[in-house]
Amino acid sequence: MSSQAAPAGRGAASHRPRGSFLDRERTVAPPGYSRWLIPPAALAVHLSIGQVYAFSVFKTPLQDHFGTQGTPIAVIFSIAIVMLGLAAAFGGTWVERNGPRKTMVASALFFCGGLFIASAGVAMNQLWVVYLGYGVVGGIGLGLGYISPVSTLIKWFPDRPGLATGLAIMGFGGGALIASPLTNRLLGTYADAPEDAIAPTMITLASAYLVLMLLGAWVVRVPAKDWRPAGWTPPQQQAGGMRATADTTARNAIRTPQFWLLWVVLFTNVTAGIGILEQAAPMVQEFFSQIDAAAAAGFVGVLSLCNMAGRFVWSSTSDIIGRKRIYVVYLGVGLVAYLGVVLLGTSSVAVFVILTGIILSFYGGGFATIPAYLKDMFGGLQVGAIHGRLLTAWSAAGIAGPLIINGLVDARRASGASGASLYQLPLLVMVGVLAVGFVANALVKPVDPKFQEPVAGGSASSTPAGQDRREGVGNR
Amino acid sequence: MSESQGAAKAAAVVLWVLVGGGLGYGVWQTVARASQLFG
Repeated sequence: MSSQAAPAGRGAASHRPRGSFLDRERTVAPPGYSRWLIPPAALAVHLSIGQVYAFSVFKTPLQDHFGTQGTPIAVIFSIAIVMLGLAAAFGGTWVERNGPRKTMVASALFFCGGLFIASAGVAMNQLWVVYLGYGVVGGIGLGLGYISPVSTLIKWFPDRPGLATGLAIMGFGGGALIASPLTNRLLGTYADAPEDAIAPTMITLASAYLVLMLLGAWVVRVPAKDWRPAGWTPPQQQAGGMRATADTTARNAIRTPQFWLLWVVLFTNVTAGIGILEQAAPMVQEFFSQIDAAAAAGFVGVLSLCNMAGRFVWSSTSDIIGRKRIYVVYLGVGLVAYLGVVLLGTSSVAVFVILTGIILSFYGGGFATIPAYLKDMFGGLQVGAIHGRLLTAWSAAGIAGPLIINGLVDARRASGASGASLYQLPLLVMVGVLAVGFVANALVKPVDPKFQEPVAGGSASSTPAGQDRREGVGNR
Repeated sequence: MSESQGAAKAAAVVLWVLVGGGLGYGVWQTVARASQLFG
């Protein structure tokens, strides 16, 4: 079965590995398989599930269809994001054990199944069915899909893990860029009124995503056990270096201070980014009275591009300057950029757009770089499972960020403030949030060897790490 | 190279085209929208 060790890379040509087509053993790449055939499989999944960031396109049609206010419709998105975090956290070990193909298929069935169920809910005029479909079922697909290709890509690109994860996670940001205009076009095609076109639009999207995600699952391969890029040798660890020389299991990782420091780093970076994203359109209009709704939508588009580009550019840069240093940039320069918005934001539209664009590029970069940071700290053994557990920081930030910004803006408005002054206090609070993340990142040190797995031919650790290994992943 | 491996490689190339084309479409649409900010 999938949890048993496979004769990876050896004898693959002489006999076919046993097991289901979906099992990890059946996905081991033959000698000479190009690693550049793997990123499109990861992108296929992330571009599809990135649709969730374009959910707002459905918001007004859903409100009109169900005859309700914004909050009951916003709950659909919130459920999906919470389920994403929970599925990633609790499904991470299952993902590592079963490999990327089975996980991608599961993700496709959950995510697209959720869209199909939601379309039925719309057709039956039952909002709770939409909660169940898009929120709960679809959210599980989001979580599994988000982490499914990460550890596979890291194993294929041990020399450039930041580039690899940046490529995939860029897809999650890019998914909204595709889904948003596509959804608008479909809503305008299937009926005269968008609220009457929701169900067929969801069915069309689900069908297209299902094909794309299953194609990705078919294409994905894991490298043979001892595979390395041609001409590459693992770098020697230097004294005091950040890269782990041994692996840490997911169970042990969450017992380390490093995991929780990185949790704080991700939480603060995401909270600060969401602070801008959540309020982007109204904020730019409050700062500049001449900005109309169409121009504000253009501003949201600029931020989306910066978010997507930052995922690839900054994560790739981290391969060169190091993970800890790139987070110094995200959090330190981000902090200065936030201060710049407060002090200089009203000076011109261009300055405001540049500063907020930088902040959003760091927001995306933080998401894309964290798997490589985890790989540096805990090794590649269970990096997908550890990443899944860390994504609970995203769920928490998804609640905290909007609550902080909206609460403070509402309070300022109630006290009579208006225009750019509405946002001064919330933005200064975000400066403080980033400062906390900056300190947390500065405190990250190499993992204590007692949490690590025994290295072959080396000394064994003094903790029950071997026991965790047997309970976790035995097949790599 | 087995027939199924060859098909998988061909599918990977098709996927590169699909995801590249999709991203290009998304970026083009977004740039068009973003241009309204400075229009």
